[in-house]
Amino acid sequence: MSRHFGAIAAVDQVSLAVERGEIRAIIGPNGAGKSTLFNLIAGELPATGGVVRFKGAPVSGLPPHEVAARGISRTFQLTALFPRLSARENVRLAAQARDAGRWRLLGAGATAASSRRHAEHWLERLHLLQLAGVPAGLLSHGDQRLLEIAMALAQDPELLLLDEPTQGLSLEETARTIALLRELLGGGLTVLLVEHDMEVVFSLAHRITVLHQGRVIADGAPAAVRSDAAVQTAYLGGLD
Amino acid sequence: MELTAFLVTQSLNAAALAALLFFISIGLTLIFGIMRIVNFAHGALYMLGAYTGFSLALLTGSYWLALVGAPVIVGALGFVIEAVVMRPLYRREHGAFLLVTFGLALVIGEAIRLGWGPEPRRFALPPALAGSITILGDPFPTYRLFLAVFGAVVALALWQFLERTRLGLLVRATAQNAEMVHALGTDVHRVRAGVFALGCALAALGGVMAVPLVTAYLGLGVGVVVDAFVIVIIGGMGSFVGSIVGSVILGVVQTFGNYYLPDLALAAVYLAMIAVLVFRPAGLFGQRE
Amino acid sequence: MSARLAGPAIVAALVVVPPALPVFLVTTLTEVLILGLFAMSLDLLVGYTGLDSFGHAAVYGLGAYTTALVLLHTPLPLPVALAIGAAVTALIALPIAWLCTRTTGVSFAMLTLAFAQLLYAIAYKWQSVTGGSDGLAGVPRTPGPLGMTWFTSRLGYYYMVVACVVGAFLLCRAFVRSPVGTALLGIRDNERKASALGYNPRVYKIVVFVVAALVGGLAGALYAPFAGFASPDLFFWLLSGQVLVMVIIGGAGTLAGPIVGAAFFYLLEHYLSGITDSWALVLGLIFIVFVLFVPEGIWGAVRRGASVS
Repeated sequence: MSRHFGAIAAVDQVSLAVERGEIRAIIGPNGAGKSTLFNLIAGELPATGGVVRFKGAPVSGLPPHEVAARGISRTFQLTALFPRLSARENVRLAAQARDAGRWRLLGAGATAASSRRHAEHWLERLHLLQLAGVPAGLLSHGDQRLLEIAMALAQDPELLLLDEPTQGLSLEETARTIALLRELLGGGLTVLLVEHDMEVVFSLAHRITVLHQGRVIADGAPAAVRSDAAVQTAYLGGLD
Repeated sequence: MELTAFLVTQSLNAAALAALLFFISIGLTLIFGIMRIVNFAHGALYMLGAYTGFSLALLTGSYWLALVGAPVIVGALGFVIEAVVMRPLYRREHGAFLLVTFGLALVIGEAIRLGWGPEPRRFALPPALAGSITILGDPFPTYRLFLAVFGAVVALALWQFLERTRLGLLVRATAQNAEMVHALGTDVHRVRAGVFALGCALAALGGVMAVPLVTAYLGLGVGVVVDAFVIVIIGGMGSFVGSIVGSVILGVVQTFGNYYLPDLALAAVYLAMIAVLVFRPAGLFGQRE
Repeated sequence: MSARLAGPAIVAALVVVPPALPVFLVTTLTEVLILGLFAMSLDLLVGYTGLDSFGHAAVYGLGAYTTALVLLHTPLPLPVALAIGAAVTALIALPIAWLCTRTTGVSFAMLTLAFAQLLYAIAYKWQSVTGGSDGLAGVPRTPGPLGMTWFTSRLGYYYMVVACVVGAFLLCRAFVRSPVGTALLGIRDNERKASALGYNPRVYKIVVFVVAALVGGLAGALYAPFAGFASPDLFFWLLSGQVLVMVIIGGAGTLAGPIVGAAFFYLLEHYLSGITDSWALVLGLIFIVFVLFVPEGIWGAVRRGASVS
C-alpha cells in the first residue's frame, strides 16, 4: 500500500502480511514511514493506494473507531491519554469501548461493574494499581506509557499496534517494560511493533521488517535482518 | 428611476456599509488570528470610538481630528487592556477570555452611559463631505462615497503593511506559530499587545465613521458586533481576505435585501452563514485548525 | 456538613422555606431555578464534552415558544405543554446537532451562534405565528390533567419548577455517570484517543447535544408560563453569552456549579441594579476579577476548600 503527501511518498508500495500470533517489528531510520504506516492501518490517514485486510476483510477506508471495533488496538508515539481522568477511568473507558452496554444513557449498571473489573485486572498486570486514582496527566512519563499499553490491552484486541512503547524511557524503565511486554504478549496476540530501541526489538520480535524511505528493504527473522548489508548501510546513513 | 442608476447607487451604499463592517471585522479577525480569542468587547470598543470621536469633534470643532484622535485613544486603551487583563490569561483555557471580554463589554458599555448619557449623539460633517454629488443624474451623499473610498484605502494600506513590512511579517508569523517566533528571539507579548491595540483602533475608526450615518447611541456596539461575527464566520476566522469578502457580502445582502426582501434579509444572512459553515467549516478563506 | 447530605438538605430547604417567604422572593427563586436548569443543561456540552456552544439561547427560546404556542392555541394542560416544549426542542436540535458536530472548536461555537441567530430572526419576522418583536403575551397556566390546579398559583408554580429542576438534576447526574457520560469525558479530554479506542465522537456529540437541548428546552418551557410571555430576546446571543458566563462562574463540569453560577449571576445583577444605576459596570468588573482570581469557579473553589479543611 502507499501514502503520498503531495509528491513525497511517505509509504511507497509497502506490502506485508502478518500471521496470527506473530510479533512483527517494523524498524527503520527516522522518516522511514513507520508511523505513517500505523496511521494507515488504524484509519487515521486515508491511503492513496492499496488496501489493508484484517482477517480477510478490508479495513482500509474505515474511520479509526470502526477499525478499533474490528479488534485492532493501538498506542500512540506521543502518549495519548485522557489527562483529567484517573488512571482507572482511562482503562475503564478502553474496556468499555466494546462492551454491549456502552450505549446506556442513564446510570452505571452492569457495564460499569464489568469494565471496572477489567480495568483493575489490567492495571494490576502493569503494576499501576497503586496509582489507579491519580489523574493520568499527573503520572510520570514512564507510567503514562504503561497506562497506554494497559488501555490497549483492556480493549481485548486481536491485533495490537505498539508505537515506540519505550520512547523517552530510562534504561531501567525500558528493561522493566521489555519484561512486562514479554510476559503480556506471550498469549498468542498478534502484534505490530514500531521501535527504535534494537534491544527491545530483538528481545520481542519473531520477525522484523525494515523500512527505509517508505520502502521495505529487508524482511525476515531477527538474526537474518541483523546481518543484512542493506540494513547496515541504511542505519549508517549510506543510502541517502 | 432608471435601473442602472439605481444599481449603481445601491452598490455604492453597499460599499459604504461594507467599509464600516470591515473596520470592525478586521480587528476581530486579526485579534483572533494572533491570540485565538473571540473578543466579545469589540462592539463596545467600536461604540467607544464613536463617542470619543463625538467628544473630540465637539472639543476641537474638527471632524478630521476626531477621525484620527478616536482610534489613537481607543488603541492606547486596548494596549492597556491587553497588558492588565489579557496577559495573565494566555496559559488558561479560552473560557477565561470569554468571561473577561464579556465583562469588558459590560464595563465599557456602562462607562459610556455614565460618561455621555443616554441620548444619541452626532456631530456635523465638514462642508466638503456634507453635501451630495450627482451620479448618473441622481443625488448621492458625498459622505457615503467617502466612506467607501476610505474603506478601500485602509484595507489596501493594511494589506501592504501585512505583506510588505517586517512588522507585518512578524504578525503573520505569530499567527502561524507563536512559539517559534518566540524561540527566534521576538517578544511575542509585544506583538500581541500591538495587534490587540491595532484591532481596537480599527474598531474605533469604524465607530467614528458610523456616527454621521446612524448617530452614536447605546445599542450601537451590540448590533454591530453580531454583524462582525457573521463576517468573520463567513470569511474565515483569522483571514484578512475573508474579512474583506465577508464585509462586502454582508454589505450587499443587507443593502439589497432590505430593499427587495425586507422580511427575509435578516434570516438570509444567517442562512448564508450556516451554508458556508456546513460546506467549508473554517469559512471561505479560513484554514482548518 | 458532609457532601452527601448537602443535596437533600438544599432540596428540603427549597420545599419547606418558601411558604414563609414574601411573594417577590418566591418569584425570584423561581426564576433563579429556571435559569439554573438552563445553565446546567449547557454544562453537559461545555463542562462534560468540551463543546463550547455560543448559541444555547436557541433551545431556551424554542422551549419557551413551543410551550407558549401550545398553551395559547390548545386546551392541553400545563404539564403536557411543558413536555411538548422540551420534546419539540430536542427534535429540532437533532438536525442542528448533526450539522454543528461536523465542525469543532471555534467553528462549532460560531455555527451554534449562527443557528441561534437564525431562530432569532425567524421569531422576529414571522409575525403571524410568533408575534414578531412583541412576542407572545398572556401565556396561561392551563390546569389539568385529572383536575390538577395546584401549579396555577405563584407558589404552586414554584413547586412545579422545583420538581422539574430536581428531577432534571438527578437525570443529568445519572447521564454523566453512565457509560455514555464517561465516553463524553474521554472525548472532552482527547478526542483522537477516544476515537482510537472505538468511540465514534460524532455520534456521542449528537447524543449530548440533544440531551442538553431537552433539558435546556424544559428550562425555556418553564419560563414562558412563569413570565406569561415569550419574546425574541430569548433567542438572542446576549442570553447565550450570559448562560456561558453562569456556567464558567459556577464551575464547568460539576452540574451543581452552574446552578450556583446562575443564582450568583441573577442575584448579583438584581442586587446591584437595586443599589446603583451602574450595576453593569460593577457586574463586568466582578467577572474580570473572578477570572483573574477564581479560575475554577465558585463550586470548584468551594469543593477545594471543603477538601482542604
